[in-house]
Amino acid sequence: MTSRVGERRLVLRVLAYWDEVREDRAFARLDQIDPCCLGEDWLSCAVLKIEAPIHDSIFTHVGDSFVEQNLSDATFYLADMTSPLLKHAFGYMQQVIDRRVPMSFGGQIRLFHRAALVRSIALPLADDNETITHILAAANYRFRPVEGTIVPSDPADEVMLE
Amino acid sequence: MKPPATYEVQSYAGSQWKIEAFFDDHDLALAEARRMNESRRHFAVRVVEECFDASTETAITRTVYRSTPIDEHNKKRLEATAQTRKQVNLERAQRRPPARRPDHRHTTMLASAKLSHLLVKGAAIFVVGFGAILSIRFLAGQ
Repeated sequence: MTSRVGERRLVLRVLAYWDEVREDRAFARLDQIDPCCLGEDWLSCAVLKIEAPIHDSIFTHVGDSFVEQNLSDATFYLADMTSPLLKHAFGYMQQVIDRRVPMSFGGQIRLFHRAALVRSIALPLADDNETITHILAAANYRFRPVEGTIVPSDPADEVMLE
Repeated sequence: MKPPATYEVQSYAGSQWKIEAFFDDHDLALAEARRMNESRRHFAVRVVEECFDASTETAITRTVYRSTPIDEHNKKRLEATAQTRKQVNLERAQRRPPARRPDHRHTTMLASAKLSHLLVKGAAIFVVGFGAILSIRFLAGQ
């Protein structure tokens, strides 16, 4: 837990938690992911249960940060994904399944008709430490400054979303 | 323009490097590698950068970070040893009186005295030898 304290970047906090709970195993189990331990970061997380074919995979949790997503349906499939933030977070899901390691990517999306910088991480979960059954993803964003406004002195700060 | 790079955070276990995480950002990869190193659960941690040049279709890989708990330990020990050595030298310098500088005048005088002493010795040997030869000749003539 101590390694996560003071870490300002969401993706590193979630990765550190995943690494902490898995201990010496290759993957963390779904039942090890405790929303209480993740605190507010849980609102920026989503969990997908992997099904075959992959488009039939079902979301078991979508945090409030993915506000653009319509969650009215009782069963929410990967194919129903409309939120650009969610699409970014699960856009490289197949690579995570193939490589069997956590992966983090940054990028640009449009949210609420505005350009935003996004950073996400996708982490594999496996109950038997072999077959990946779920993907835990976390993502956050920051709107790109409108032209003419003050730009952060360090461009890296802009991408290193907290 | 530099091609986009990806970063693999790897840990060393069972005599091979294993990929632990994958990033498209240098700073994030380094931060994760440092966190892993601090956790002391891994024998060694490194970050491998891979740049793929689409024009030449070649991938260039290089290690941009590498650390082990042993490296950390050795670094700390070296620092401690250097500090101790510095302190010892400082204390030694305070304890000893300042070394006397050699007197050039005194050295020159000493050298000339030695030379004259040598000359006197040489002259004495010459006189004694010459005297001995003369004496032998004189005795042989009688």
